[in-house]
Amino acid sequence: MKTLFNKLNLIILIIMIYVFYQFYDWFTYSSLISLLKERRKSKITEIENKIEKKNDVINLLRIKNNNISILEYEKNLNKIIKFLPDKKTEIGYITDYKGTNDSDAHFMFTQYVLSPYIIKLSSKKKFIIGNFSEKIVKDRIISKKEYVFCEENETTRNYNELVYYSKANKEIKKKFPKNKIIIYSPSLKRSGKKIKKYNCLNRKDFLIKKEFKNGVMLLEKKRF
Amino acid sequence: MILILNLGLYIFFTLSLAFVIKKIFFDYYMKLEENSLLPILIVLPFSFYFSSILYFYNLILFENLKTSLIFLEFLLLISFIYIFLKIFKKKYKRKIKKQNNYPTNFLHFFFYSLFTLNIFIFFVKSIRSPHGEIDAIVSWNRPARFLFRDGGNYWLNNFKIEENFNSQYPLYIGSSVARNWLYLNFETTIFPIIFHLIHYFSVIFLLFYSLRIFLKQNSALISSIILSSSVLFLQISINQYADIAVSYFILFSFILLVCSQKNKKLELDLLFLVGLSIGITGWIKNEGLIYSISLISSIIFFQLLNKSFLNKKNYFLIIGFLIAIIPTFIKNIFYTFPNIFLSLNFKEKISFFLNFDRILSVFKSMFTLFFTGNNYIIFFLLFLIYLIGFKKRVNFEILKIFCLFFLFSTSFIFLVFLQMPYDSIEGIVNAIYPRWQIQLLPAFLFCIFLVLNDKTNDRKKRLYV
Repeated sequence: MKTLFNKLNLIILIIMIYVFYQFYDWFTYSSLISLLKERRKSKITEIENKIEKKNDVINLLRIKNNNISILEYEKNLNKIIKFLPDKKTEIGYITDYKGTNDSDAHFMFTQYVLSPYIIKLSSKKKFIIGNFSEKIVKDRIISKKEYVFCEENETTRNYNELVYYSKANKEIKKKFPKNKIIIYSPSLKRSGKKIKKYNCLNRKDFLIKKEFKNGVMLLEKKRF
Repeated sequence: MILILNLGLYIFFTLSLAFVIKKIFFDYYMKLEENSLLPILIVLPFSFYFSSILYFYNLILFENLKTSLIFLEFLLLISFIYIFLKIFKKKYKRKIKKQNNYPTNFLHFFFYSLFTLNIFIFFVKSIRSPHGEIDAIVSWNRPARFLFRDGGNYWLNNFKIEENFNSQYPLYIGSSVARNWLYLNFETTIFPIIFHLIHYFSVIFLLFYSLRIFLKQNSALISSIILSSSVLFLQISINQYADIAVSYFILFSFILLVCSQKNKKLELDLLFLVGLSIGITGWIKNEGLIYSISLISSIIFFQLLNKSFLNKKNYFLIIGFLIAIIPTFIKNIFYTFPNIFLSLNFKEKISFFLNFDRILSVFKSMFTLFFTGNNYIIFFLLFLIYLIGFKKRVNFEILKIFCLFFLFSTSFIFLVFLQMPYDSIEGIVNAIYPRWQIQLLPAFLFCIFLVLNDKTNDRKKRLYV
């Protein structure tokens, strides 16, 4: 009994409890575990309804982690490469995705997939990659020119010029009709005290050079 | 067939370099007899480091990347074999006795089970996110594409892209991944996954292996179990962030430092290697330079207490560091990049440093995260230290150096946070600081376990007193 409760055994026991606590805590928020739980629940329901489906384990593992799948991005954007100019030319990037983490990720994935092309958050380039939401594609907003295009009018950035995005967004929305879609250049949200200044136009010409799946377009500027 | 040949060539260079480095570190400096594959795998990050700087120099100097790289790698291997043959004169080997009793066997079983579970989780999660998490995609895996694609002809574009992509980051991971792709002639996400797994594996087994040299096997096992149980440590590795690699080289620096104290004959060589090892962290992440300066300052500070500042030891330490940071220096000086941290002017920086609210909010966030950031590991460790107790006759010098190193590096990091050009600085601290904290965890475990009681009461049997 005495040997069972010696110091080393106690230390081993505490370490084991600590390890289990750590992993239990992790399992509770693990997306994979919650996914497996959901699958199990749905499987139970399926069995109850006497409908059985076999799930491929690899497919279960490959279900995308975030809202945006990098694999889909790779597939879509690889098609654009043959239409792009040489790799020394900078390419612009515009989007209607608002200043959220997702919109950051959209731009970052674009640069990642298209490396070593230089993708700039700007419309002041001859070739521009447009990355738009479903609504823009469905209602053919770009070809019908039913959008407001807002472009930042400052080029240099330092701390005092950083954007407080939502305030700028509200100010712009006041000036233009509510049903219009606003495309910003650049699109990224930045923190800071000052409101960024944008020049907004009702009709701005973007020629669609090639349209791809999932709202990705290659645009060309007529007057450059 | 060509693919197998290319892969074979890559594995040959990587493993044979690691083999020679293992011979130098373990057989010569640590005087250990171990003829398994394990120590070779443990020193693989060193092989990656030397190969990655070679790839970087090759990119700067030559156009036909592959031919010149194979030639350079061959030269590197020959030079390491030469160094090894030059220094390796006598065999001073010692065997580590294996303990075979109930607690050791149980701890072994528990450690390997936990490690297997971690590897399983690692692979499952890596299949789900083969490109890593967003930070890895943006800052670490993206440069690899710039360095590899189109034969590396447009690698300088890496420094012309938007500032959000952290082009100022060093190229340890980027060039290591690009080197592998160059040998294979195609891009694959399998290599970055294996690369990070090797680092994860190396840190845990390096801790186990090094403590086994100085202490009883049980203490080595307990420390490795604690490190393996850190979910954040595992998650960072799965996310393909560079922090695990940084933690590896910090840990190695402390191990070499202890060896330098134990082996006075090879002290200067070992201090040179301490400088080299900590300097390598500067080629992995920018904060590596902070760690390098902090560790060198801490060691010199203790030598100042002994009134010996201008001695050979410090020169060797600093020379090692300077050699390791040459690639970082070349990259930062000759290849300019957009850097959001340099967007503030001097006046703005001063106003940030003197803003009391900002100081308070950074301090509050760091203080809170220090205790909660790694899932209360600090409280757990304090309790464990209390339970185990210190050795009766103990040399606290390494622990003191670690504490000073922690103090210096935390102060530097605090200043870095203060001057970051963001208004909501708490969010940035919350996102970054736990990762910085985890970089120090393996070295902390190593230092603390050295002074804890491992029940080896016979002074002669103990290697670290």
